[in-house]
Amino acid sequence: VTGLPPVVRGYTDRPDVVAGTAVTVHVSADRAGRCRATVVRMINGDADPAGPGIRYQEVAELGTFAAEPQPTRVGGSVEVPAHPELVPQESFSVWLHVYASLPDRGRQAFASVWDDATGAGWWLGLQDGRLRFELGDGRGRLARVTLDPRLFPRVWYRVLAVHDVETGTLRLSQRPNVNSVNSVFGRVVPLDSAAQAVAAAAVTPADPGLPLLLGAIWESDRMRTRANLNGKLDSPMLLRGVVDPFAPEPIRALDPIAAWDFAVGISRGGVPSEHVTDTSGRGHHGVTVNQPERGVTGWRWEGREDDFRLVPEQYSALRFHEDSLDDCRWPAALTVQTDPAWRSGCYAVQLRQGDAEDLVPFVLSPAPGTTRAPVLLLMSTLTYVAYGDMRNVVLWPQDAPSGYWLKEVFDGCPVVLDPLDVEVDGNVQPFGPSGLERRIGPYGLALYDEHTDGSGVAYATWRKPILRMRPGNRNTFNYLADLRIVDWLEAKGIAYDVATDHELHARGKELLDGYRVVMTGTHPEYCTGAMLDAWEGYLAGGGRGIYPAANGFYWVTSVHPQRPWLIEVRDKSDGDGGWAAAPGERRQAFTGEPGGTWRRRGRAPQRIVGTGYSAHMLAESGHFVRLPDGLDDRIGWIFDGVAPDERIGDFGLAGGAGGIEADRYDRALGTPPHTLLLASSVGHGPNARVVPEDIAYNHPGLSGQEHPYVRADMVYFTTPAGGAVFSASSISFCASLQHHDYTNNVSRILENVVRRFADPAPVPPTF
Amino acid sequence: VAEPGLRDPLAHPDREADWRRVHERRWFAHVASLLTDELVAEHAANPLGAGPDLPSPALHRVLTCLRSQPIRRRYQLLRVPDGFALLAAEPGGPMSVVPGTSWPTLAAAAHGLFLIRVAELREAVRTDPR
Repeated sequence: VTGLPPVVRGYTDRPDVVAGTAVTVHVSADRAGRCRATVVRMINGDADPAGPGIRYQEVAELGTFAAEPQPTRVGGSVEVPAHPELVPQESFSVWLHVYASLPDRGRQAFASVWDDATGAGWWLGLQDGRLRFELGDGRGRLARVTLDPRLFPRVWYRVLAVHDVETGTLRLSQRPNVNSVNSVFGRVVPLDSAAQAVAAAAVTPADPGLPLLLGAIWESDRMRTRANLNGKLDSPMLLRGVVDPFAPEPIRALDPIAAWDFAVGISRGGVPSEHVTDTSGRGHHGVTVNQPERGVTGWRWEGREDDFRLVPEQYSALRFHEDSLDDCRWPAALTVQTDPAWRSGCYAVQLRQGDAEDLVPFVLSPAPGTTRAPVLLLMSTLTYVAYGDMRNVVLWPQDAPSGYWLKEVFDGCPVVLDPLDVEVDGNVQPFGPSGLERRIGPYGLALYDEHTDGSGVAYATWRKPILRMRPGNRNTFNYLADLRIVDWLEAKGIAYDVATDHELHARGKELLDGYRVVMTGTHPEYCTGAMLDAWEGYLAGGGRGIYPAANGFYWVTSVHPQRPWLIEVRDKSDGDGGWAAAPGERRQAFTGEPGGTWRRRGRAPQRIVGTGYSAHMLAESGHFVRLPDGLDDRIGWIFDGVAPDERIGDFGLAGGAGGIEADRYDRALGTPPHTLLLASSVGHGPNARVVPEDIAYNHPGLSGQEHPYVRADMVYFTTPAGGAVFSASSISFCASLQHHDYTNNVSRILENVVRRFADPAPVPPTF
Repeated sequence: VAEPGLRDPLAHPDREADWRRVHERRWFAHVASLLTDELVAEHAANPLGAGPDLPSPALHRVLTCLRSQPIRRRYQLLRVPDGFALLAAEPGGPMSVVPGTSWPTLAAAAHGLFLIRVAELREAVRTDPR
């Protein structure tokens, strides 16, 4: 696993493409040279030899184009356009509040107009845990002051840096600002962390002509950044003259050159903006890059409110991460003009350069005005983005407790790395300065990963290569699992269109209207309120929905209103998700709405599709057995061709049709009263577990062998105006469709439902 | 004059590791006591724990320990063209391929990894280096 072969990778500007419109493809190739592009239509992406294998059809040859390596800017920052007054030639001061989550991690900048190559400009930040202020004239003369006591991690400090031209000195001071809630510990700690220092500075800083950065320093290529901050900044100011370190807050009466207030822009609808406001009146506004978190608690946070909209002055901070990525920002290598005549479906732009190949996915929905198929398959693009390039390689830093390795225990089986996992992490050999770094660009982090400082990842982007969407990746969750439905529809000759979560969010119910049947993929976990409204409206208006899935409609997800390739999930503390929001930070910044699960918001999935997430059983899938409602004559058509005592789905690529993750019927959570509980899964093992939101008191007996909630419930009910819902409630259900050449009882049941739902004849009500 | 207090964050290391050593000594000793030849044979017969013969409670307890707490090294499997290779990392070290370890099937790899961890657990309890 050393010496990874050169790759060519790409992404499209968006996942959803309407037939007849153009889509741009952004490509980076390890080796510069010509690259051949072909549009292909995806049929199946799972390479498992027990299944039909990878299948796609060539649609259009696009010829060749020039490809070359592209840098990827990683790490959050605020960029303020270059201006001479941001490098003052007279005395100036920098005043800010900082909460450093990993202060000992090398060099990290709070603010800089600095060029490392020439030593021109100034920067203020951390060097190996200690505050440092440095300026240089670009001709080799530097002045620097460093404070001796290190910063305590995750403690707010007031920081003042002064360049006093009159006395020819640099001054630097730090003072902890701890209240009962704002820092990692409270006022019971006898903290002796205040300090100040003075150093001679017979240097006038030269202007490097670079934009000012908050939270980073420019790389020499002036495209990427280095010294990215891990932590929060609050109310940074650049002021003329010499500020007294004991000056009381606020100090705006002094003469600011720039005073950035990250709370400006907070409204009832959140703070979905990259704009950073300079309140000095001098117009040094900035933009955020790589999505530092907004709506985070600042040094003034008192803990009595947890809504940034009510006390914006207590949420005047931005949280920066060295490993955040909101868009690879590669230039478009080619533009693909799709043909209105192309069938709606899952497509990819195949890139080939020597032995390197990539299949860059997008979803083609029908051109307006064209005849629609009876069936619409909704690809769970928000979920594909959320899982992204989720990290599988486990690091083991020397100073970490030997502790629990969650993933292997969670799965209940060994963690198997795909070679593509190795590509994502940069190799499993030593990487980075410590030998234990993760490579971030260009693959970024997923909503299941943690940032370097251990905080959960709240933002994920489409605009990067997502290798879990590449055919052949043996991590077949989500897109590759959903392609099994495409393959099955093709095999059964069922006409279908395809659209995306992104389109459903943007267009609402109108996207679904006109289709007799709408199917989800296998795992539509990430969902916006607009998507729930669309589904509920469609079903209540006579639509017929199929949910051959589980763990759907689960996390409150927000799509950025201006940059829809970017999604936000701010809190996972009340579900099966892996990390919890920091105190006071459970609200979505993109929309202002509460984060967490939809269940906690009064919109449990049971209310729409009859079942909701109940258990995970990644190692031990089971099969379905019929329950009394499954023998009801009114729904005999669902089981046409299946004997009453048949085991349903005791086969398949996931070991059984009831597995991986499973949903249950629960009247208390909103399962419609007239729902028929047709069948449930059995055979789950000791590693299967009830989801945490169902555990009010933790206790033994929560495994798949013991607890009645560890099951998948196949349900059916009718809705107003002739609509109906069929839910299989299992992620692995569709992993059984292709078994025995598509001839099996899982395939038969789904085919019965799809064909009956596509028939406009009324379905008998289930009440 | 400032009152003396905490000035150097590095002077106050996290004490969690002290407890972990106590916990692991007790826990490993208990789990090792469950490790019989019959239990190893049970794993060999069904390394992936597939139904209907799900792991016995004793085997499940052993597997949960071995999967959750690295004893000497952390392990992961890597899919390679002819099967599965084993990766390992020691504390503070990177993941790297363990020479001479490869298996043609996932079941064989799961059992091979199980045996390596069982040997580590027995050795840890025997020598009790903690």
